[in-house]
Amino acid sequence: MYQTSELEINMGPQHPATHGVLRLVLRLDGETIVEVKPVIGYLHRGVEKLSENRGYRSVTPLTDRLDYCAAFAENHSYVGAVEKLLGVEVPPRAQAMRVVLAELQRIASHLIWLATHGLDIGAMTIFLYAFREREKCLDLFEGYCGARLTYNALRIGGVPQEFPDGWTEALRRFLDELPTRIAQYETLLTGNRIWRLRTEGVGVIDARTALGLGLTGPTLRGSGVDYDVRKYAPYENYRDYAFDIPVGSKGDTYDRYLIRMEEMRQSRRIILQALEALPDGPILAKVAGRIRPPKGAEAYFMTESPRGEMSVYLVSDGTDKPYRVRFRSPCFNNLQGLPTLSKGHMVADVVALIGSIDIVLGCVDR
Amino acid sequence: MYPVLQYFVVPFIHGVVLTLVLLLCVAYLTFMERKVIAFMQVRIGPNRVGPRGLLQPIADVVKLLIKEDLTPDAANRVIFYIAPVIATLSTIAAFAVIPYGGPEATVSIFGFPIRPYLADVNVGILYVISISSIGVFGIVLGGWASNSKYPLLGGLRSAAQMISYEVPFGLAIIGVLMVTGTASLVEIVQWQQQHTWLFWLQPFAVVLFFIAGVAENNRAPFDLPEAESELVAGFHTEYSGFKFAFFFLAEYIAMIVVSALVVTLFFGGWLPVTFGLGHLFPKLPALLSGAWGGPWVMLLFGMGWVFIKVFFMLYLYLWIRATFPRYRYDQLMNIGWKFMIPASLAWIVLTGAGILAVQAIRS
Amino acid sequence: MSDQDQPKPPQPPAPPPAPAPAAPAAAKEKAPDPLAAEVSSPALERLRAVHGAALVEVRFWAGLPLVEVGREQLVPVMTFLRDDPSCRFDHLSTCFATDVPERAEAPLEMTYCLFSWPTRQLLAVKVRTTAETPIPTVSAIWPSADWNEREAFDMVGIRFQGHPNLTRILLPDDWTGHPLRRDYPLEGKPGDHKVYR
Repeated sequence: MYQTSELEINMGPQHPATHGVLRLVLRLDGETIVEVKPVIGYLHRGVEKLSENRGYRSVTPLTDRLDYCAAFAENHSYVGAVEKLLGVEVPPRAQAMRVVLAELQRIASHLIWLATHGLDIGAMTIFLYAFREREKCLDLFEGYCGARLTYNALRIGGVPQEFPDGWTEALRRFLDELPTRIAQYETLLTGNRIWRLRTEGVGVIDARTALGLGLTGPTLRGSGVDYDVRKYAPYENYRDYAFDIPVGSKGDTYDRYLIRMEEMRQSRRIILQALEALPDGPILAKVAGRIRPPKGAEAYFMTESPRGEMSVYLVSDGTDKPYRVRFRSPCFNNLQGLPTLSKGHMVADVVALIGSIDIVLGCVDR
Repeated sequence: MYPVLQYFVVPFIHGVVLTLVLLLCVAYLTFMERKVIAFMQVRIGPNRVGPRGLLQPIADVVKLLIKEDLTPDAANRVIFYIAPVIATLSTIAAFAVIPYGGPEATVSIFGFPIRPYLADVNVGILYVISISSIGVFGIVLGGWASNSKYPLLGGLRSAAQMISYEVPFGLAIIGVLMVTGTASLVEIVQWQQQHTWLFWLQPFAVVLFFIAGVAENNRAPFDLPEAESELVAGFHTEYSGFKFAFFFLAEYIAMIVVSALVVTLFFGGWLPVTFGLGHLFPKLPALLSGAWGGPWVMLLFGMGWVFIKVFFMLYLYLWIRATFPRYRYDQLMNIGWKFMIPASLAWIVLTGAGILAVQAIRS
Repeated sequence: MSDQDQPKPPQPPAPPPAPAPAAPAAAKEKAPDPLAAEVSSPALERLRAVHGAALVEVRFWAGLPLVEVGREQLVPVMTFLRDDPSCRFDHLSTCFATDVPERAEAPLEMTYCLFSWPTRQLLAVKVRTTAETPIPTVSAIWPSADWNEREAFDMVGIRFQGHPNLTRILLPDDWTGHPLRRDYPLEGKPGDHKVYR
């Protein structure tokens, strides 16, 4: 008597394609996925608990460590939440500078996504090409705040310093060459038959399911929902800039890929507008040295991080330490969609899908 | 004179020398791979060990030799040890019939004639195909004997893949057999010497043969059995140290074998490249093949041409690897069964029709 | 760690469900902060009109309406918020648990942050409970609540009735205790995990 049985495979927490320490318990029927069960928590550092025991200003460095590929976005949403809690108005110049940095971070983050996503699917060269440009983004960040990965580049009430001399010129030089570089990546991938075979029709999710699962960012927009916090709940001065929200039509991995490529171009467009109309004035609002929001104050601040909606909920109890900090991480919620996305696909597609929803485990586990 | 010497000892030494040269080639093929891909990926590549990194392969070998050789507790030890040997030996053995010079380049050392190939078997092509398909046992057994899930999946994938692609691999050669009427690799090259490179007569077969060869070797974009982003390292996940090196060797020797086969079957083997000027300058082929200087010169020139042509084929391998993403398992099977096999069958029919047409015109 | 739970044991009876919730909430502040001013929110108007009895308290801070609803009415209120055409809270942004030990009668609090991108409104819904009393799950309304509720269970120890798979998510399965409780020391408790401590 022959009989077949399902094979249970443990993918991770140490595995080359799980982008960190994600563990997936796969049940396979041959090569076909029967069930995917993500097991997370291997990078849990208790940031929410740590934050409750620190002053408001001392939490910012912790946020760097959440999504270490887009630390600025995390800084931004935490600092924004504190400002909202205190009712602080950020000076226009600081707002514009934040937009510049946030969009530069989006480009850097999408580049690293492109690199790893390509590598997961086996396109090795794109990895090094994208890292070449990401290096320039990191150089720019280093020029601004001295750090390449964990920036801590924001202060409550504004930004710590002006752009250094020559920085905007360097940024413009980078932005000038970016379109040709993106065109280069697209030459390698967009029309590539194997790339399209591997991504088209893989991980299709319709808009209603995606919304219900709490997917945000490019992962949601691939399904045709144009929900982008920058448009729907604008923060800083995103209202002043003209940019498009690319949306997909089929909701597959290929659509999500195209969206991220287009988002890089849109980010470039925003930065150029912001640099063009950089207002004069102070860069730091007046904030009390000891931050003590009144008791009962609660604020929810949403930002569009490169991976999706990154929000921070702050509760104050009147002391100089936050009573409760909640980081709404896009990766945590997007990863929740992985079992739905990968149902019925093959092992190789799971790898493509992990890349496609663009998770960073620091952000998932917090 | 001394039959024992001539038929046993001399071929044995010949084989040993050939193997050693092959191993050296593999070492520098890995170096070339790293350098070429680095060049394509705007990197520098290895440049620390020795002048311009030229000693890097030696360092790699030493590293592999002194590395701890682990055997998983649950592994089937005997098969676990044998598997890499099967994989390597079968690919090395395939090299025995590949000529690197014509019979006229036979040199004599201590009175023994040494031909520029180990054996001229009249079923040379069949021999290569059959011996190289033994290699799949090494991979399947290695994957199974590791008693671990990723190697098992890798082994299964590779079994399916190699069996599927062996069919078009063999079918693509049928056209060559039909045109030349021989299965001996030496005679095929001699046929090309008299007529023209088979590439001009069988262009589609070259493409099919090379694609099937890449898939046979588990090289990108068909490197599913060892797809690192999915199966960690595929069938050799549990291998380390020198057993791993054997699998590594097998893969690279197989690359060289397939490249040498393509060169021998379609690109005129040891024949010189005359850029189509052979008819204008009748002396050019003799000049470029070293026929002016006796067997030793001819041997050197023949080896040089084989080397250059194989080098280009290997470069093609690396180029493909640097450019393309990886196929998915089902897509790979689709290409194999739904495109490669029908296409190669169709090509056989077309070749047959062509031969009949030529015969009809001549008679 | 010093300011954690200053013992304020009395605070005895539960605040009775206020019929007109906004006014007393604002009055409790000593000097009404301008940030606590009420903002207009069509969703809140609709909610008051239809489910007014379910609302325990309504506050505002920096333009964010904070609505507390009774445990039993949570699911009807949430379903209404999702489906009503003037609310359309399609997107459960996040939900999380807070431990407020000074409120002895219902120390655990669950906050649901809802965002409606079609109508561009933000709303925070709160529900209070104790460690023993489960609250109904909203994962049937928004599947995204699944993991968030598991995290709330993991970190604070709120139980959810009807949750498909209420297990620990970030901590190991055999962890004891709930680290985001206020009385849980930052460095952890000795013996809260057999292997790691």
